Amino acid sequence: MTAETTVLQVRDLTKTYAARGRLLARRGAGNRAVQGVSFAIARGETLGLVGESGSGKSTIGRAILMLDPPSSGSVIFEGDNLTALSTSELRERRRRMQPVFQDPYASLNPRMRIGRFIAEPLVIHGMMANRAARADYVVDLLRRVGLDASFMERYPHQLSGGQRQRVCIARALALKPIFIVADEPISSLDVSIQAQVVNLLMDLQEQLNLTFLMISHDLAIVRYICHRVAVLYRGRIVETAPTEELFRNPLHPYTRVLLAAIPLPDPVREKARPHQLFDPNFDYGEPDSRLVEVSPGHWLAAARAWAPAQ
Amino acid sequence: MALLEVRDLTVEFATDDGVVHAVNGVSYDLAEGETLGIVGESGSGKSAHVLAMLDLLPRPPARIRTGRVLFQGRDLLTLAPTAMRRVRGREIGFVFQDPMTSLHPMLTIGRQITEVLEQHMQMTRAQALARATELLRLVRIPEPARRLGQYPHEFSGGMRQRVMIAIALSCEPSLLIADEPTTALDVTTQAEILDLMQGLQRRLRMSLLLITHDLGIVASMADTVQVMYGGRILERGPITTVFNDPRNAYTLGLLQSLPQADEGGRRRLRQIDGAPPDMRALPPGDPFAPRNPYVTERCHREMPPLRPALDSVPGHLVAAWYDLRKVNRQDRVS
Repeated sequence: MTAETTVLQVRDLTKTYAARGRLLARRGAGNRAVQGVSFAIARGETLGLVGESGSGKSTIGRAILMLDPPSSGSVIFEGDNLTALSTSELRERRRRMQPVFQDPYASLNPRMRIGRFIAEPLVIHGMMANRAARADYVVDLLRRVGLDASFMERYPHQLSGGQRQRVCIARALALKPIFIVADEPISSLDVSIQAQVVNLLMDLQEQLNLTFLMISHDLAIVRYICHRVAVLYRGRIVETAPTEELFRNPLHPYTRVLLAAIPLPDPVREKARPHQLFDPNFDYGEPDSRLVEVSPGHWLAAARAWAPAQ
Repeated sequence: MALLEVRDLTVEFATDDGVVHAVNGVSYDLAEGETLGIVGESGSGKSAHVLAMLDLLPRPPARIRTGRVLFQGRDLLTLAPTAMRRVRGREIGFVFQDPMTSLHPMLTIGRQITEVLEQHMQMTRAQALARATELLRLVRIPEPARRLGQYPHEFSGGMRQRVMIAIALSCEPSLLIADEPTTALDVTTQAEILDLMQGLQRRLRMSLLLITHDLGIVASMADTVQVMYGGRILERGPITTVFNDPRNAYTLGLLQSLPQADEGGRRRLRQIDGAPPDMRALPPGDPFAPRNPYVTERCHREMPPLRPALDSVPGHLVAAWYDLRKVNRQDRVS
């Protein structure tokens, strides 16, 4: 990956939360949400970040967006280390990176009309002061996400879940970002709507040459939309590889368990295959942040990290 | 005789914006020892009809307009509240999606299990406590005796769901109803819970009514699958038959929209266009008609009855005015 094409580079990102009370302090490392995570994403690429709840995937997304800045490490976006910028410089860079979250219901303001909601980032950043031009632009954005101009005047409660997520995507596009952090963008949507939103994100990526960090627990969807996947376990990346390579040849025992746990929509094969269960008593060990390249592009956490603890 | 016979169940809700027609004439049977997977999205009526038959919907706003729900020959809808409470928990166990809201936050796990046993099984405190320990062991909770003295917040999501299953099974019900039992859980925990439910079902020879939006879970667990949409059953049959030879366009659309198990490479998913119907203003005909690429003129006018699928196995039922087998094969494969 050459420097010109790298949009985002995360180096040794660590996020710790101060331990409050006994609940968070267990196991000594329990207060370290993310530990020494490094990866890069190229222009136009989609990197999938997978792992279970508590693995630190959303923490990484929020740290990159500087919504919840990292405790240490660097987030280099388009050549600038975001952790070293002043507030005003950061504000400027942030226009180029936008989030799309899981719950479009929570993201929308129930009393704000859709048109105003989508235009709000433009107003905040003092862009497109001309009201007529701004309205035209919002209509363009609505069309891009598959909605028509009539949505301008509607309120969130008048929209279905899928339409709301489209509106959130339109708002994320308003400032013409090049990078989107999508945190479980379809998991609150109905099954028959999920494919629509996945296809929309892929179309937009192609049309606008967007770069994505796709945070998801849904490995089946990740396989379809991501170029590469990084697997998180206890706040560290244990394996990263091009998507097909990871699915065909998972190496880390945790990755294997994770992939084996997805029920296949095929009754004959699903009922025949043995179910490999995650053993909560088996200690995969504290993962190591050193990754070794096992085959081109396929990186695995150093071997001693997953030797069973004695 | 079937363990459960649902006949022409119709449930509606009175709201400020009009009447929500949540369940519209649902009829089906569940045999002893059978696992029935009910698939549908929000508003399909899959959860509402189950809550209605357990008398767990506040009335009003809910209203059961028509129907009978025969459980071991007795109509649940005509039972007095006290008799209904005896059936619920004693003969029908249930597990819902969110174990946190189903457990009482201020009572220990032990108390919540023993309460059920004392009430339904006339056990003494000591007997109930011994049985509760056994139940936690059954659902594979480590250190059961110590865990009984703990409160729900001291349990992880997966562990709380195990507790819910333990409570549901405490009186050895003949029917377990599980509504999205693993949706709030991680995939590895989900695999554990499903494996657990399957093992217990076989051991206790229970019937299982499993409601889910996940076709993978249905494929793994169910003998029979029932697809619901717009408060109706659109298709039903043996799991392998319905997955291999779907006859309803919605079933086909759902199956096609899934990422295929072994397909590599990045590509667009096949999508179902449009949005689920407004349950306050359902179209007069087939509720899926507005989104159906194979729609006929009759679909818009008239609701097709659920009847045997032509040239298929017994028990394969479909509601459709069109014949999916006549759809261009090219279209179905690509």
